[in-house]
Amino acid sequence: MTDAPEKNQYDLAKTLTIEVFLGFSFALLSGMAYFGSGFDLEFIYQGF
Amino acid sequence: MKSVDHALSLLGYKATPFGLVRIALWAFLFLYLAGLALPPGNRTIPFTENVVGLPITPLVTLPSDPAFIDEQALPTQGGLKIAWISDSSSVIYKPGAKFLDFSAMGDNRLLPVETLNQLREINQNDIHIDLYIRLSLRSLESYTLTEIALERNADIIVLTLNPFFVFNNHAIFKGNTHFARATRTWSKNPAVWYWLALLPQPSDHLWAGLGRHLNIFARAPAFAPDVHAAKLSLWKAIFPQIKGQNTDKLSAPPSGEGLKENSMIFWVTQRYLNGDLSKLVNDKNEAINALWYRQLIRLADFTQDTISRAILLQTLERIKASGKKAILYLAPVSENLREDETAWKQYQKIKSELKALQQVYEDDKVKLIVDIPPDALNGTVFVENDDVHLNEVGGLSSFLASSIASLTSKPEQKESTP
Amino acid sequence: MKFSLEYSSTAFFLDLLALSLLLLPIYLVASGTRTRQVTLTLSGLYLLLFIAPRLALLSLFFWLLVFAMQRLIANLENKAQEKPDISSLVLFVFIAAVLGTLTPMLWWKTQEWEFVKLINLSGNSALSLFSRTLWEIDLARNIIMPVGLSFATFRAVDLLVKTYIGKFRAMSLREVFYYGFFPPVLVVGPIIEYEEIKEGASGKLPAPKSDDFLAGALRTAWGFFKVLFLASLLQPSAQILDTFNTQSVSTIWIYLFVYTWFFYINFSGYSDIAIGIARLYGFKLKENFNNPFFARNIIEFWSSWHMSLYRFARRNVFVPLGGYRENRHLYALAGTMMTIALWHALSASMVTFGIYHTIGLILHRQFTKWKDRNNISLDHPAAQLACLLFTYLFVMLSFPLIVLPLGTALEFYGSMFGM
Repeated sequence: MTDAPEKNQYDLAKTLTIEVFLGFSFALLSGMAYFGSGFDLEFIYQGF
Repeated sequence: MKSVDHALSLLGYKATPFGLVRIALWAFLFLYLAGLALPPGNRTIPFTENVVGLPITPLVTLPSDPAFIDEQALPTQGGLKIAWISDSSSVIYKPGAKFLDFSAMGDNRLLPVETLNQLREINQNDIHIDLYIRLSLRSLESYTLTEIALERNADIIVLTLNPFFVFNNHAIFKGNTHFARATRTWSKNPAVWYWLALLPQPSDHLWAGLGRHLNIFARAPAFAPDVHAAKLSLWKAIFPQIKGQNTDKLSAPPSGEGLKENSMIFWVTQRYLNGDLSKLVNDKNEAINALWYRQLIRLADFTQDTISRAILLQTLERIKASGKKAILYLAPVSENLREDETAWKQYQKIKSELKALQQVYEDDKVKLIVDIPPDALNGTVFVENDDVHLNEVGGLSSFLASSIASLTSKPEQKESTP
Repeated sequence: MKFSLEYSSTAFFLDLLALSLLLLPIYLVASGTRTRQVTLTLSGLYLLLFIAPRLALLSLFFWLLVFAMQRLIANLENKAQEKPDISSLVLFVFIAAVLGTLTPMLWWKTQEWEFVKLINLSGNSALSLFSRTLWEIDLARNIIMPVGLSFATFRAVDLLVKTYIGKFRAMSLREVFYYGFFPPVLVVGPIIEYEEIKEGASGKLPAPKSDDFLAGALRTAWGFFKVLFLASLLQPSAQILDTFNTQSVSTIWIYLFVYTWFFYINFSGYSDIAIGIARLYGFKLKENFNNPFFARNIIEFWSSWHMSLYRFARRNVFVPLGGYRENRHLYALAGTMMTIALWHALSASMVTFGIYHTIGLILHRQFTKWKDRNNISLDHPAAQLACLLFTYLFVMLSFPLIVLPLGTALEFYGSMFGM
């Protein structure tokens, strides 16, 4: 490959940015889902 | 979401195995950081208001909280540490109180508190009780709590055996949030490996793993009330309020119609009552405890290798192996149980089964109390139409106090005897 | 009789996801089609144990019967090619098989509580013949609805129909079970076709690749976010169904509007999770929703809402009833809509729902003809927006019929219009 070093660096930075963004998205989505579910405050006791 | 795939390919991003690992690590890092930012929060621990100012630490969380016990509660220093593992039979209900009304639980008294007072009267002062009481605690949860109590270095374990559930395979656990904790706790006991595969769900194992390393998963349940409140206020801010509905609740309360779908009531009514629920309920469609407990006790299964027996044996085995002291007592039942001949016979059978176990397991450290002496039950008052819940404790607390005291004084007696 | 059995599809998907941490490596290493099919089948069965072992046993029994019927039809089909005179026998067997497959679902939908009792009692008793441990664990589980039965029934019927029309040869038990217990679609669909999960041209099941994995994981996370976060925010709108009698007209409209979004986000969220998890394993299932609330006419709506059910009904009802022939079109359309409606519940309100949408589709067809005859164009953005809003309104008005009994739904409409 004869790509200019700047292009390689640019590609690397782009890949890294996308990956950080994706990692952040996963964390945000799963965290919000888990947190937002709020759990069942009122456990339904059926019978005793 | 298709557009996300599309956007990624437009950006020229090509996923690779290493790229996926990096993304996962980033996600883990962000979750980890979010967990650091999240304060511990206050877990809701039932019975806290019942023990204000006493050397008693309630530990079991709400049934919806997968943590199961409050791990932030510090282990106590010094003194005799009692772990009291029990269910609603250790609550002394104010007459007319509802069994499951958490908001009024402070009006009721607790058997461990009464017992603590008795212990103080007989000069046992340096005592701390770790309180592991949950309403509807079943045998499998008792087993998990026994393991936890041993882990937390209890000196004496006091464990209630509820006659209506101890040999009942239909009710070995209540709800399933306890399994996330059980996953961690049980793995210390190789004898119960198949429980790990069949009882906790795969997601419980995942939760146990994630919760251990990521605060955000472990701590989030403590914020459940805040999350609910936030959702509610957001809703109120945006949408017009509905009239005539309890707006403090986000979702409709469960209907009282659910009785027949309750699994135990289902098995009882289908097996013994021809599907007729009316024999167990009053005209408001509420189950009458005495009537339905008497049916429930018919489900006790005395076959040798049942799961309920395995749970009881594991509880005993683990206590034995730990070398700790323990009192396991069969909760007393009302004499009214005699009104139902079959139920009474079952109860006697349960006692004789436990007495057989007494022969094997009882020694100077472990007591299995099957028969509480009749005079210990002087003044004990059971809730009306109920064979196991208490309104007045009578002599039960002093009986338990003296049992505990005799267990603790034994080694000293031995030392003083030449 | 009204009853509600608690069952959380979220728990199932979380279990499947957790199990996938273990399964995916196995799946990657064991690349043989058989091993992969067996792995997925066993996982599906294992996950059903956590709903209740009796459900796993009953499902096994159900798919065992489907296997037998599929084989019988395929073999008879083969014979009929040599001896055309038995073709009416084949048709008879085929119809009997389809009716037989539909029976449990129809039974459930007509006699809910009786059926629930039956499956719980018989399932539990039958388990005691196989394993004491599983039987005891079953006792400790809740009383269950036949979770996923409606989806399984239509998957099975689809298989039988395709066998009858000669698309499939006689299948092995492994293949039928693999289709029956394919984990992502076990509890809330989509109603997949066998073609969606069968071996590719190479004779192998798709191998999960990195980009599949990324897309699947994103899709799954998005689905969980929709169900657990967005839908749970909108869930209070459901209160209107119980309290509409005492609310103002505007409140009812606002709440119903939000409720339709809750319903859509919740349901499509589950589909996202199912499709996403399948994608982790390299399967590209067909879509189940395609922005239905932005449809500009009712046909567009139905081809973008619960699409797997719509596709099923189109394949197995609309086409056989001659939907593409002018003189049979109406008849086929009504049959299709009724199939879709009654699949949800066999109730007067769902019959009304089916009629309502059939009329909507007919009117749309007449309108399109009239519009084309008169060279009227609706391409202007304002016209498009009007179409979109009108379609949404039409759909929104049918929602009370999905969730309320007919009498209550009529009262609901009364309250909506201040009556």
